[in-house]
Amino acid sequence: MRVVVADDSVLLREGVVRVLEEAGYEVVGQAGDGEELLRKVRAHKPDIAIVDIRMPPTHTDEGLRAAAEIRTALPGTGVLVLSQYVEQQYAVDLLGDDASGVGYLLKDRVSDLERFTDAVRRVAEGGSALDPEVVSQMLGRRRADDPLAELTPREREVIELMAEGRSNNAIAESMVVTERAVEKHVTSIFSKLDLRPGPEDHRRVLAVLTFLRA
Amino acid sequence: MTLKRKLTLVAVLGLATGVLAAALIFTSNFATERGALAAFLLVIGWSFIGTGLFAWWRRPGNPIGWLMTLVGFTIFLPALSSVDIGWVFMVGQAFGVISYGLIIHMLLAFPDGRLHSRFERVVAAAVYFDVTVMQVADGLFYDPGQYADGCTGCPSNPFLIDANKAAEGAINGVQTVIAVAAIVGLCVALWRRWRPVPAAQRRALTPVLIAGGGAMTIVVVGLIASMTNAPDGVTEGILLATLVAFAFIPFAFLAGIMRSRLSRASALSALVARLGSPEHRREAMRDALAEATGDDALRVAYWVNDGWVDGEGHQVDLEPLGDQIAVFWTRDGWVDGDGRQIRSGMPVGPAAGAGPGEPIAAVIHDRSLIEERDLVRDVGSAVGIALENELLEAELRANVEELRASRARIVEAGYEERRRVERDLHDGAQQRLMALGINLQLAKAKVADEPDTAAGLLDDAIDVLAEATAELREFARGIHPAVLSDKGLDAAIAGLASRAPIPVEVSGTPEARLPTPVESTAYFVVAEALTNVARYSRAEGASVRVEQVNGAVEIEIADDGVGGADPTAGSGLSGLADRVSALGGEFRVDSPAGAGTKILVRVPCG
Repeated sequence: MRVVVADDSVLLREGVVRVLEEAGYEVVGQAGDGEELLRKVRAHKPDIAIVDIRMPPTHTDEGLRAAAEIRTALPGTGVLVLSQYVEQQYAVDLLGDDASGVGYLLKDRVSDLERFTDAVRRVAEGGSALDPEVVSQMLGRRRADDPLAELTPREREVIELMAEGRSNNAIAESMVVTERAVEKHVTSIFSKLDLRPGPEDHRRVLAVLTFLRA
Repeated sequence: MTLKRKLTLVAVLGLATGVLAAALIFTSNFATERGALAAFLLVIGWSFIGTGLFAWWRRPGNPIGWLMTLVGFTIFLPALSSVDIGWVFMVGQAFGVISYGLIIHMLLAFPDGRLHSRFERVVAAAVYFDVTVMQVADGLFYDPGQYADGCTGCPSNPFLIDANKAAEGAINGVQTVIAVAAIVGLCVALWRRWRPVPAAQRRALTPVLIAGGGAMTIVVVGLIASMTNAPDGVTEGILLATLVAFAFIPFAFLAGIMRSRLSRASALSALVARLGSPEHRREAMRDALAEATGDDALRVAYWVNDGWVDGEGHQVDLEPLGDQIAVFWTRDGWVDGDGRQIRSGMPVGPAAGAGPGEPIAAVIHDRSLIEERDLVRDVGSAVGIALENELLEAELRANVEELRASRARIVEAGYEERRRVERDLHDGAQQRLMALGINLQLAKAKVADEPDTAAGLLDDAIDVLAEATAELREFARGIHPAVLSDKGLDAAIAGLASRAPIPVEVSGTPEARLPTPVESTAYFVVAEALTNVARYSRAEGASVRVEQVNGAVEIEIADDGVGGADPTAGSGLSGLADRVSALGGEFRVDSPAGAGTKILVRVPCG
């Protein structure tokens, strides 16, 4: 699996590269800003670009803009955006109406090697990865007449992991239950929230997020 | 001699003269009706002297006061004609009527003591001619013994040329004609004077003009009566009326003065009320002043952009002024056109145009108002206060404007500071700590299978940790240096100087602790200035001086670099200026191109 990494902090970039290489990925290019990133992506056609959100010259949201451009110019290239902070709005902008091949994670997650490499693979394969922090921000929002209140603690746990972009298999593994049990929870959640279950994981993510944002 | 002593002396002299006159009358061996004569002379003479002295005291610059007093003295002159010595008797005869001339002069000159028109001067001259030259001429042909009514026991006239009754009668006739003409002229002049005067001043003029004009009319009637040989009873009645009317004149003058004070008080309170009213505009000030002084032609001009303009912004010419004069309100009070203080007891300072005395406003008013000294003074003070308020208001508005701007800049600087802190943390320590986390995780993964690789990763981690620690330390110092809180300005500035990339000479930093905001501001001024020196000045050396002077801290940072620093361009310098002005201090940058930069800051320690 071929990867391009963009981050203006050389130290951190090299850390990420090392982690990826240790996990058996092939890092085909490194970039220090948005423009360089686009050049490298166009040249190397990687499976995924891992992008720092804040890069020169403005140090604001270059990464986000580069990500959007990659997604329109080279569909099928996964984009995983890393950020020092998570902002719900950034996640919403990034996902748009298509959650396939998109990820948005706190930079801190990089040091959780397994989860990080797992998320990279998921995004590269067309899935999605949303930081648990964003998900809990969205879930934590108070609503009038809250249908979430009807979820059981188990179901809550499932919906969180679902929103992060995990597959039923991964959720089952994480919760140490059978995949069958997870499926039951998912069906129950969807009926409680009056949602139509999607066939693919990333569509499921979008459905859940759309609900959470409403 | 002070005015008060002078007036006291004149008063004593007046009393003595009156007593002497009475004594002459009572010791006379030929005078008739001594009691009545003495009483009238004393009542009228002393009244004039008393009221004259009062007017003199109230309006020292106005000749009316001493004219009235002089009239009082001349009233006593006829007493000389009670003396049984020929020449003394004749002096009394020759100058006994001079008081009429003075009274007419006085009436013509009321209230400012000046004769305003050629007509008035002609009338006054004619009267003086009549009561002096004509009277003396009359005396040359006057033999008291042979006079129509006769004078039993009167001394003979040593100046007699010829006891010619016909000549004497002719002279007397001319004298009377002149007197009548002059008194008619007086009445005309008074009418002309009274008619155009505004109500406020009319109140002061009216009693004087009525009493004076009335007395003079009675005099005319008496003169005509004596020429037409009216019966004794009529002549005596007229004489009595003349004396009574004369007795009223000084009190009329007094009433005039009192009324003018009364009207001034009411005009002044109205003025103060108008000047203080919220809708007061600059033109309202002119209107209020015109009304208070009774001078409709009065103008108020303001010094704006090196020229005089009125309240509406129209240009005002101060030359020529004609019958008007201009007084100027400066920061130091009122001055006249030559920059001299105005003699009115108002607080005045150096001349106009001399430094701080630059004019703020001018009041162009009628020349005669100079005599209304008390009025001008009181009005001047009220206007001065109003102008001062206006000035303060304008300054206040400017200050508020500046304050608002600098407050906005300080708030903005605060946000900018937060952004900088966030960026520094984000780009620095945070990145390092995350890299450190990654390294440790990698090392942990390798420790069992590849212990050498793991050890290498741990070495890297230790280096990154050391860098992160150092960076955080520097960062914390940038936010607020601990040494400043712990050890004070002296130590903190020494630290700044030692870390600077060029040699910095530090002198006179106070060892005593200063208020925290002052210390912090002084520190950041020096820190920012030295950063600028290192970044832009290309200097080879710099110096820092911090001194405590008169309850303030003076900070000077100088370098020998290229100069040309613009305090308005760089956010660093203007941010410093705002910090300093927030503490009520002063901030100055002296940075000519090619001649180094000097920053001077003064912060009060209170």
